[in-house]
Amino acid sequence: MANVVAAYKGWDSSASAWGDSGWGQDNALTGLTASVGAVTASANAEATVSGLQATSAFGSVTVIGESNVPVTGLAATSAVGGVTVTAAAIVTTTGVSATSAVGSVTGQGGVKIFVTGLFMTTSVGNALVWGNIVPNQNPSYSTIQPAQVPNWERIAA
Amino acid sequence: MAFTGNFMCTTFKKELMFGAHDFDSSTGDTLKIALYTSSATLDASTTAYAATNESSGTGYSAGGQDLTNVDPSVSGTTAFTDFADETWSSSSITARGALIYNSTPNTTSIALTNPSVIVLDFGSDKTSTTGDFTVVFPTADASNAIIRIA
Repeated sequence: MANVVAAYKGWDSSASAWGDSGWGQDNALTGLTASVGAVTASANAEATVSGLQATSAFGSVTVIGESNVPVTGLAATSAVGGVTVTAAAIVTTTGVSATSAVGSVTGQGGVKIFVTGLFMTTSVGNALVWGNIVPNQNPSYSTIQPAQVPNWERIAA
Repeated sequence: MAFTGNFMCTTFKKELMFGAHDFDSSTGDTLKIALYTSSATLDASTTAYAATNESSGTGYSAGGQDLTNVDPSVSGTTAFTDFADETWSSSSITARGALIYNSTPNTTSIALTNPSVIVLDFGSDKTSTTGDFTVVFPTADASNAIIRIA
């Protein structure tokens, strides 16, 4: 706001005459004019919204910010008063994007092996049995009959 | 291929003649079953338990587990013996085969340490995942029992 200066240069030097006002009382000065200039107000504000960093000025200002979201980043649009914040998210994921754990489930499985039997066969060998030779045998022989008579027959043709 | 079928170990046959193995259910020896990976080399020539290429995992300890003997019996001219099914409960194991061996043989007539009995080939890798790993033995009769002598 601009200042207004009203000059009071002494008795009867302005629009007020001697005796126009009493002691200790306000005296209206006529002929004075004042105007209020244009007032401009400005301010800066920082708004932090859920990990998104944004700097904005009051008014209908669109602020575009960036955020680094380490795990599950999502593009977000939010409004704080008259401020529209549009954030572009940089999503950093490592490996598989989704990991789920349902208790501690592991595959289970037993196995049965049916084995077959083995057999062996046995055999008994032949045993040789030796006997003692009787030493005092009496050898004997019979005389061949020398008086044989040869005989023959004709074979039919 | 490391496993090439089921085998009755040759030394076991010899040791029977030394009276080294007793399959009695109450006073007999402690027979054990150990599991092996497909990298193991087990066949009829296997003479004793070894930890090389033995399976490992949750619920499994080196050396395997004790078997429960079933009294030997006879049907016709065939003698046979059996074991109760063996289970590694809530285990996570992969095995291609197994070795049954005697951890308490009679060494009166022959020096032995964990002598082998039979080799079992599962045919492919078998896996339990937080479950029961069970070896099911065949019916105990003259035609099917796990060990038969005819």
